[in-house]
Amino acid sequence: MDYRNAKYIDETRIDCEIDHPKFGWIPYTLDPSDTDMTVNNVALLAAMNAAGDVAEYVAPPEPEPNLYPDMTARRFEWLLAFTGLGDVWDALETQLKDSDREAYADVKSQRRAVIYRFDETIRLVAVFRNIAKQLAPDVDLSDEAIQAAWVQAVKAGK
Amino acid sequence: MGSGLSAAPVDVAKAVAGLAVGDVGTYAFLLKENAGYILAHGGTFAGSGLKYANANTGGNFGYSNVSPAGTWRVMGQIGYVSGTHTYNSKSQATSVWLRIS
Repeated sequence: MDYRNAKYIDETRIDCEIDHPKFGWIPYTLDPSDTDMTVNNVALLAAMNAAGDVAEYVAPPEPEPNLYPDMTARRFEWLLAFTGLGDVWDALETQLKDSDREAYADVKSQRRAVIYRFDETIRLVAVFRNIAKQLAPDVDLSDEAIQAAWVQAVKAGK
Repeated sequence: MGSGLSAAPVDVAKAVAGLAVGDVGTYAFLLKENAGYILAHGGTFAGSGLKYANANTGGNFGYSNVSPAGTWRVMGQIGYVSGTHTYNSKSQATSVWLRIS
């Protein structure tokens, strides 16, 4: 049986196209452990070995580690305490309590989340960054600072 | 019109029942992972891109890591289109497949 575009997809299996007598060229997975011999896998594999035209297996790249995984409330509190952002948060709540009740409710409820997500945290900081800077001008609230703090909290494993 | 088949129906039924899982002529409920497109009924795919599945593939627990060999024809559909969007999440990427080769 004619074949083309053969390549190993792991140590033993080969993906290719075969020229099927009824269906024409169709994709096919040659598995040496296949119990079905409608296609003579032994002969097909022998032909491939003789031709030496099966592309080598290329392992997929390792997935990049997630530097900013979701964080438990306990670990997030550690981040806030360690970086001083907790004090900023408290001051922000106090400031908003009298000036913007809806924003106050948003900020307060965010502090009671069960799981903290990095993207959501970055978005929240962006919303209140200007007010927070007025309350704590010495605290770095840049995205880069939040990223670094997040990584540190994850590594701390609290 | 003759079909060329001469076996009695009961013999055909026994022969079908005697097929092993994954043999040519058998059906399987399979997931096409990372479809990324619509695969209409009748489309064919290599077994390596499919996995034995159940009907609850919305999460990461609805399918095995075992892929069949050979060539499979989808007898339903993978994914769907709504408006200008193509949907092909795992829960929409399972169907009944027939091994044809």
